[in-house]
Amino acid sequence: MQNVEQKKKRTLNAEAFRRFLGWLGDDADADSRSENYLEMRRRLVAYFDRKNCLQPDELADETLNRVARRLDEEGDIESETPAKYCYIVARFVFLESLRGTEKKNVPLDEISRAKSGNLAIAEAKEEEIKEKMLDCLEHCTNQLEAINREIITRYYYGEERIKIENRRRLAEGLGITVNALSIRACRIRDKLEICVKKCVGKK
Amino acid sequence: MNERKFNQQNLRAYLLGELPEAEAERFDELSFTENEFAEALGEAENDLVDAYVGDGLSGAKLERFKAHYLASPLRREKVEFAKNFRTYAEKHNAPEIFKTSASEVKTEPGEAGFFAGVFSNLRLLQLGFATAALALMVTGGWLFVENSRLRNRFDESLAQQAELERREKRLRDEIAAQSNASAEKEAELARIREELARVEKEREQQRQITEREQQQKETLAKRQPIETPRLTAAPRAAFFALAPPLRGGGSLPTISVPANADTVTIRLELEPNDFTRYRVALKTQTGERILWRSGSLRAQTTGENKILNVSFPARLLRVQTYSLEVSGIGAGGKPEIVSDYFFRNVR
Repeated sequence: MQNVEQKKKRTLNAEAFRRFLGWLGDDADADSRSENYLEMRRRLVAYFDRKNCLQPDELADETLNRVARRLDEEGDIESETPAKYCYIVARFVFLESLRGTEKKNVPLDEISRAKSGNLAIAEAKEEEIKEKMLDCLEHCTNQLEAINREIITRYYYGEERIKIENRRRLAEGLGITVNALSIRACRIRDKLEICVKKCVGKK
Repeated sequence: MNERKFNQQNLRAYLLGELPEAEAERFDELSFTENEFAEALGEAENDLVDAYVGDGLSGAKLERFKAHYLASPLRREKVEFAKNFRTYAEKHNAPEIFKTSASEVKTEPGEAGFFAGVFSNLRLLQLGFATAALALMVTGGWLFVENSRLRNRFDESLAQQAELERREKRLRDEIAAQSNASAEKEAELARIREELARVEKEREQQRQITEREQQQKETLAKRQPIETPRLTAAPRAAFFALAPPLRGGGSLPTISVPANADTVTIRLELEPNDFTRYRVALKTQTGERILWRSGSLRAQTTGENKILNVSFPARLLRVQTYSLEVSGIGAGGKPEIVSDYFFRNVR
């Protein structure tokens, strides 16, 4: 048992991490490999979050560490795809976390007591965060390429049929389908969201 | 992926935790293994959050959203982002964006009338088949500009309608919140509704006029290209179109700018390239003098072709040969010459 715990805590060395990046995607350049890693981490965080786990970031890192360790120990992993293997390990990590959470459950009335005491502070803080976020949105939107800035502002403009008509014309202007436009807009929005999150954290 | 394993409805149900366990697990796996699914899920999530922020959820869906989706801090952050993004987008008045292309294609109220004079002169001069071909190109250019003008007008009324709809919604919300809503607000709401109906009607009329005019012009251009734009208003702008220069020469295109024209607009058909913004300079034939420079211009895409419209004062042209030097603006803002369009003004 102690052996298993030690294994879990063992950190990865640079070589093992490089091998893991290579296994995750067969792209030749370092940028694409890093992007593959970040994308897999994003998917893991989103998965644990959809499962209502309390610490999705930590569970995502735990999953990636386990996969990388296994690769380091065995030299290769037989699976249909790296993504599928990551999912299988994530499922195990999730089930383990459920068992851990059962032991740490806090009675609901304690949570609500704690919350109500901080309500006024929380509201003031919320207002402050909102202001920061608007500043950051301005900053991050200005950092986008001009064409992406135009797409993101126009894509989300209007309500219902105005919005639909607007998107149709925007896609037409760009010479792409509405479907391709929505994928592009979604990617820009994700990028913007990440930038705003970082920016708010710094302020 | 050969067959689509999901749709908007079950993606939304998945995000709200409403799918049966087995189905949810299948979606869990797809969110890792299928890029198409991961992208569609991201879009569905944005749409769901936007619907909540824009008061587009109600009843059981709204309750489910609050109970399930908002249970996670990360997802609450997503909602906060969407709220602020909405505020930001409203603040950066989107209707302005609709107008950007309008500034690039300048039109004058009497533009059509110019053709009556030009074409009657052309007939008199009997320039033959080559001139007729040029006139066809000019007619095409004129139709294109006219169409752009009508399209911009349509855009403006669309934006105006959107603004009115927003105001109507805001007022409706205010009235609902205050049970003793004042008669003044009610009256304003009624006025806005009337105005909205009027704008909608106008837009419909404009659309019909555009279609009718377009059909008429196309029919006339096909049947009798030289006599097409026989309108009576005073001429002020002259329109021409230039095809990409041919390698190894070819005949020099000619234009004939009438004495009473204020502006010359030339539609340049670009050769395929990767630039999206351009600058154009009007030069004398030998290139020793630059007579005029444009600002940054955006090309319009029609099918696989790119079109650039440039307008400059007619008084710059004498009876001689000129070139329009087109430069693409690269990522660092550095211009790179794309092509030279030589033409001769014969009047």
